[in-house]
Amino acid sequence: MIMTEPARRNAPQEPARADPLPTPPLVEEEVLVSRARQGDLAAYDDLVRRYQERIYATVYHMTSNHEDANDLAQEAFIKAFHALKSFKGGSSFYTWVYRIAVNKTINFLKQRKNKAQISLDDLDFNAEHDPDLVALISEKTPRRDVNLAELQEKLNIAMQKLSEPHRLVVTLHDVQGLSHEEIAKIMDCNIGTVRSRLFYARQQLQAYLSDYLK
Amino acid sequence: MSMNNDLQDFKDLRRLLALKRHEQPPPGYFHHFSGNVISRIRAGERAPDRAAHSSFAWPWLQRFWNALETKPALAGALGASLCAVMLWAVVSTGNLGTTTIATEPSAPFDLSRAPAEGSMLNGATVSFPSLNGLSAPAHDAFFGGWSPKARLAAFPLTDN
Repeated sequence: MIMTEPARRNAPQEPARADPLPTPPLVEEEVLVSRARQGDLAAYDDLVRRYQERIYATVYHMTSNHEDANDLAQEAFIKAFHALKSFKGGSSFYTWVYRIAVNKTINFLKQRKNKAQISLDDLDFNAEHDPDLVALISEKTPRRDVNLAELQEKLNIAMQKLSEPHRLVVTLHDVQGLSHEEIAKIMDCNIGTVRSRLFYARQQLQAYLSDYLK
Repeated sequence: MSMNNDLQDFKDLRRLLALKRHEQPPPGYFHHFSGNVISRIRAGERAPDRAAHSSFAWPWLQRFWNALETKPALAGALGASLCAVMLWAVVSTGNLGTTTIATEPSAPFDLSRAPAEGSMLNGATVSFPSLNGLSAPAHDAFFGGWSPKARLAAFPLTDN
């Protein structure tokens, strides 16, 4: 599966995207799905390993809470296993699982509405050496005293202010690097809707984070 | 809006959003992830009956618990109600203190003598210790100065 838009990846103004995982061969995926549908848990374990990081990351960026993301990502895979018989193969298994995880997460967020708790994952070592972030903090951010941890918290708080569909579009496109087409499939809407939601969400975020952006 | 304007306008924001890619779960987290999923699937297949008989299988209890979890006001109201009930119970108990129920002849209850006297409970005194170590006031404020006395009905025991 193509994770990014090749034409846009090379655009000069494009910030670096997350490295997509190696794309597994689709034929083998179909075989694994077929075996898992017959109850082969080893095959399903293989499928989970392929997509666990991306599913977890999406749920995590939507909830800004590690524990919730852990539960929801696991439950999404469990639900997908039990629903495998209804999987017709019209889309890829990956898109299908993604849709299950996203729906589960949105339902959860609607219930959680009044008691959002942030429990952030730590930044990895590379964050301090990311040239984009270094440039952003040293040159572009009016708040020179800001550190990465503070910036991370402000960013997550701003993300939580977005509505679920807007947060999802930003997460899938700007954080995870999925194309508009893939997002449209996952969200079951047309590409125009994805673009307009993305534009609106970025405007909102820009306003929330104006102290940290030039 | 054009794509170039879009990219130009939000370039710094997107650089900032890239920070989220560096948020990573604890080291080794994904080593156990799929194993946990498979274990939960196996556990779910093994124990569907157990789940059906657990208290949370009762739909109304599950709904009530979910409501408590998602509505702090409801949980608070329930807690306050329970506290009020507890307080009322403590105050009531304090007022009542030791409750003695006595019948008119204050001879101790002796079951072996009962048939001979023709009435099984006639003359019995039943004394309850205080529920909380408090003694009863002389005039019971709770009953407006009137102390209730239980009178046990006396039924003659005859062989016919």
